[in-house]
Amino acid sequence: MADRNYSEIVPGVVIALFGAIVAIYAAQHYTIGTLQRMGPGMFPMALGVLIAGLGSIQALTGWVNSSLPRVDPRTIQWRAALFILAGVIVFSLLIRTAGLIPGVIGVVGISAFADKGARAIPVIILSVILCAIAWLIFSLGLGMHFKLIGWPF
Amino acid sequence: MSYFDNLILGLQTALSWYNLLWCFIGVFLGTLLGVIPGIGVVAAISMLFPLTFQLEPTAALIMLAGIWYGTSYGGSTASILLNVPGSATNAVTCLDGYPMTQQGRGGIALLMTTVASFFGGSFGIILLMGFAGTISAYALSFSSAEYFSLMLLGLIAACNVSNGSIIKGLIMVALGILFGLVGSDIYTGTRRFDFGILDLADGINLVALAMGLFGVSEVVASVGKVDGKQVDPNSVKLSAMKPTREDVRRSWLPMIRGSSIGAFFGTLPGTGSSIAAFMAYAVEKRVSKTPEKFGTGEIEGIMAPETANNAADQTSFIPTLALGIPGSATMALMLGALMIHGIAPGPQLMTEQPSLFWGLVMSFWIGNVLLVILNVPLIGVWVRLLMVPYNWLFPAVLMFICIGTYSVSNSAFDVMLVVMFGALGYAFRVGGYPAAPMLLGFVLGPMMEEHFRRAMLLSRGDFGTFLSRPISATVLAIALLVLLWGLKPLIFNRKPA
Repeated sequence: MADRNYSEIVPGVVIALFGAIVAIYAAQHYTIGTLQRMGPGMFPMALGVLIAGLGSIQALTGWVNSSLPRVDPRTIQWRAALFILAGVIVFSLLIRTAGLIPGVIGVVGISAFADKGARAIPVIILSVILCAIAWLIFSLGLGMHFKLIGWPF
Repeated sequence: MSYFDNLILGLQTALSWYNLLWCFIGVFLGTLLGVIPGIGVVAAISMLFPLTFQLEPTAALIMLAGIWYGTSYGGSTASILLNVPGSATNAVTCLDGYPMTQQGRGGIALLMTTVASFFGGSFGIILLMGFAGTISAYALSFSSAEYFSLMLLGLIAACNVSNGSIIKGLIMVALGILFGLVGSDIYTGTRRFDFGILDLADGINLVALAMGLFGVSEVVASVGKVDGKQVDPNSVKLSAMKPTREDVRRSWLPMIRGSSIGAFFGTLPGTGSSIAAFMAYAVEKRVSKTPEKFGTGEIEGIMAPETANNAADQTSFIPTLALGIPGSATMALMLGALMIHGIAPGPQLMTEQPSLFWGLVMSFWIGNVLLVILNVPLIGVWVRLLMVPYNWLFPAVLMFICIGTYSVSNSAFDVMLVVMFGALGYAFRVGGYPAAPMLLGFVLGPMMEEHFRRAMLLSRGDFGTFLSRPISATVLAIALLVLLWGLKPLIFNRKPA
């Protein structure tokens, strides 16, 4: 039995399914129109079909051709991804409610721990410095209007 | 207006204090971000993109362009001193640049690559000045069918040259086009794929997509992998930079070959400075009498690619400005900046906005001169920057990404989109999907749909219109060839394990 390359098959199938969903969604929700007068649904539907086709081809190549490079799960930077994305999410939640300074502290303070060697004290110092830089560049330098700090209520 | 008048107008525009200042800021930031490993040119431009909304369109483009070719200058520094490319365009410079550092010739390599960059840049600008006008005059007769075909060719070429399988590139292009379609339909106003979210009514924000795809995912990938403490500050003293007569003599031909190769790949849609640099290196190795010495610190091995990538940087403006069709992800961002300022890119740009076009072109000269000044005497400053630990730099980068995205339209939702595209971008990166075709598809997608629908409307629903028009048919034929060429390894290389 041939050695199947699942790092090609799985993403290929997911992408093919996604394309199919797009095509069906477009066909159901938007007017397709005729070739001469295309409705808003024609192009997205065709695109969905194309994506589904390409995804299937990728899955098929993984099925027949196992010599393609594989993803080594150990090389995935889970920790970095988690802390960095969490930091940006916190910024997004704080910027309108609590203001720029808490937002910057949030993104810097959390994302800095993406690095395994991060320690609390240097991270606090870095947050303070970057708050000052953000204020200097964006509020003072570029004159953008940010709420610097405030209550979320 | 005559050609000469245009040049004077451009020079006047570029030399105004306001534009001069932003040109300097652009090349300065470009060098800075180019030096730091892990921040590529697209990430650099998308990080600084929001800054340009406050500026006049000419200054905005001058600054963005400065960042673009500035990163190519700065990127060689990290390649030569650390063996880590500052950005993808300088990857090939590592091969002979780092051995030169190990031999104590790092200073010479830095000086000579700056010369090479300037040479290549100048060559590219001269071509841009010569040919952009001719091409755009010709392009005035293009109709929607030609535009659609040209964009299709650009997208297919972009998938082909990105390393990895063409199928993955095509998937990214198609997904990019799909993301580009989100929002109101241009003909009917129907809101597509907005899922009732008001923030998506105008479509997905270009900055949010670029920041997530190139900024956040790049930072995630490089955390814990970049270490800059191994630089010897003595190697960059001015006295250590003086090249021998032999070095100079051996550099001429590689620079001339490199700039021709770079200029060629720069103008082709979908290819760009990275490919140009690799090709230039490969050619140098082939014509050399001592190819076995490449990789051990041969000066030809750094001169040719560094000339090529800068020449390509400049000539890639030809299709972008003359046709309104960007050839690379970076050019797509440039085009986005134009459109955000309400300027329609295309062949009319040169005649309708001569001060913008010629001001931008002439600013390239000024920027390249500024870069030589920034890179030779100030090289020590950039090297110090390499010694700042990466775990201090990356939170700062993320902060700029967050504030930058938010400030585009004061939207916290856009920052959430950055998170989404960051996660998606990293997942694609792990899976070996190239990110640049997605951004290109995103920008070109809506334009392609518009031209496709208009062409079909004019031809009363007949697909033959794309084939009966000679230019369109030729372009489509080339696109098909490029596609088949990319598919070839997929069909013929079915080796069992």
